[in-house]
Amino acid sequence: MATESHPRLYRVALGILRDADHAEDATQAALVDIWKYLRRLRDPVAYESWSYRLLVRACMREAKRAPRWMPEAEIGTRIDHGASDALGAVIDRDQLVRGFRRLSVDHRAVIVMRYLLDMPIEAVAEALDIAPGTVASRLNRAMTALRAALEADARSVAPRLEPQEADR
Amino acid sequence: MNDERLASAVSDWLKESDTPPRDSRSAVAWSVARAGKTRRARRSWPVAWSVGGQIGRWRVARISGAAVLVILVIGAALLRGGSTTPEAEERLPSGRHR
Repeated sequence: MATESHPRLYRVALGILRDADHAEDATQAALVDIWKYLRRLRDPVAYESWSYRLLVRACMREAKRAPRWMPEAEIGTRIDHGASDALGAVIDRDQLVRGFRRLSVDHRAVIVMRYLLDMPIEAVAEALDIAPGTVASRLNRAMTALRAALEADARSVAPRLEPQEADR
Repeated sequence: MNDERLASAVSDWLKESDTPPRDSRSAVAWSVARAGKTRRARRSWPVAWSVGGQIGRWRVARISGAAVLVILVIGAALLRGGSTTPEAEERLPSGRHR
């Protein structure tokens, strides 16, 4: 069971924490919690969502333990979204990373479950033990916060880039 | 940027950066060992070879069973050595009776 759960949980933990070591720790903490509290699980069908719930709690603990600054290795590829974009022609992946890091673990968890695992709102609600309406509003707030972070980042990066562009 | 485009960008980014765990088997083995240790620590001290951690409601500093045995033996020796019987009180320091 643990062997099957580990890659699945690690994937979500990495999505939330964006750091392999912290994700590993959170996954292991979640597996220990699953081991300890498995007797309390009444419905075996709900195991998957229950394990996600424990994982998100483990991620919250890990995020509290982790320092604010963490080295980031994800630099590079750029995602092109067309020139007519209000934000700019290109969203740098690095900007996404920085924007994502500014979100709370609650917001990150909702985004990861919805957009990485492609879980429907109802499944996310079951996994996090909250109402579907709460998931929808949390997702909306998370995306709004992410957009605001991206725009703030774009504003701070643009003036620094302009002189370099002028030199060329 | 509209919501759909941002959602699509986030989804692409999350999926691109999605990597498998480095060593799933050893991580699982480590977790299972740690969970087993946690369970053992919950047992009472004659069973688990250490005392402390979570004992009932209380959280106690961990101390090995061997150390507890040593403390008990020393405590017992001190109690026996320090005890004064009526006969001992009657005796003078030199060992002679009054």
